[in-house]
Amino acid sequence: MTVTWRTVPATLRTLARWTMIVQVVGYTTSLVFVWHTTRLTPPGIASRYRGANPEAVEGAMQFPKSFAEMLTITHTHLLSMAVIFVITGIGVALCERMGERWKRLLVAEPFAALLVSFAAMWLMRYGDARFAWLLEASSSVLAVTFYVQSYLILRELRRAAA
Amino acid sequence: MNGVLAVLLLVAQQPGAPPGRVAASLTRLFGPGARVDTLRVDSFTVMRVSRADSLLGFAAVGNVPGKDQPITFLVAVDPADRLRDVDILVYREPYGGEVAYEAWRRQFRGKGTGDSLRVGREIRSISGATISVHAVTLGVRRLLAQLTAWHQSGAIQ
Repeated sequence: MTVTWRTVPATLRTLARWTMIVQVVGYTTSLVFVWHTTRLTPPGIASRYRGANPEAVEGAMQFPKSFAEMLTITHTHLLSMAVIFVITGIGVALCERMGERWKRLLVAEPFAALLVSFAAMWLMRYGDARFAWLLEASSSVLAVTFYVQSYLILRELRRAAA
Repeated sequence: MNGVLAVLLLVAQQPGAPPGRVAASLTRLFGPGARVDTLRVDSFTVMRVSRADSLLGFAAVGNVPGKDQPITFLVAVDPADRLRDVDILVYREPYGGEVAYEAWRRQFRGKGTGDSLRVGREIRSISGATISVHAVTLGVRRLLAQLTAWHQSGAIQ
């Protein structure tokens, strides 16, 4: 028997629905935070991690992130975001209105994008500032995937409850 | 009056800094070979720095609470009660240590009690070190006011 959102108990669907709603709010808040600190632009991201000449910019000074800060950012984000995408991945896996190949792609893609994003972050910090573009691109893909996953799961949950 | 002022200013001198670090800071700020005399004002320790017969200034060590740990800093003023510099002697938090960077500290130089010394006005913040920036700026402002008041009242000279 295949387990889908239609076959799981209604209580689990309620749990899933509210988990997704809270995750969407949390993810959106984190994007607002990143917009606030970097304006979501590659030069802004590079300045945030590599620092900027205090005389050349206005507002808060930006200094290069230390190795310890880089390690902390990496392990906290990598592990917590992996948990988020495990949750949404299970949600996608239980959807029945999607083809198997699309489901597998949606489940696996965020994990690959996570690794690319954090590799780009380190390369940008210690290598070349232009890796900020790769970080921006992979993080954008990650965000789009998250919202697509969330939409599909919430849609499926609504139909399963009907 | 001074006792009340000292309580109101709330710049604690404990925990202290390693003596070697204080000495290195004074050498950096006033040059090598300066004479350092320790003065006691109320419960506060102030260092009087001079060379030959010439007064170079005063310095004092203070603490302000950071996010979780106290930040120990040194404030040095010249005989005209202008800030010579600020030094971060002990920074105990894992993040926010950028307040020790020269580019940020030099904003304080030449400032006196007539300057506002507020973050966002005369003092720029540091991205990722906001709490430490506010804490140290507040501590410097209070210690500067304290040293200036003592100097102008003749409690230190």
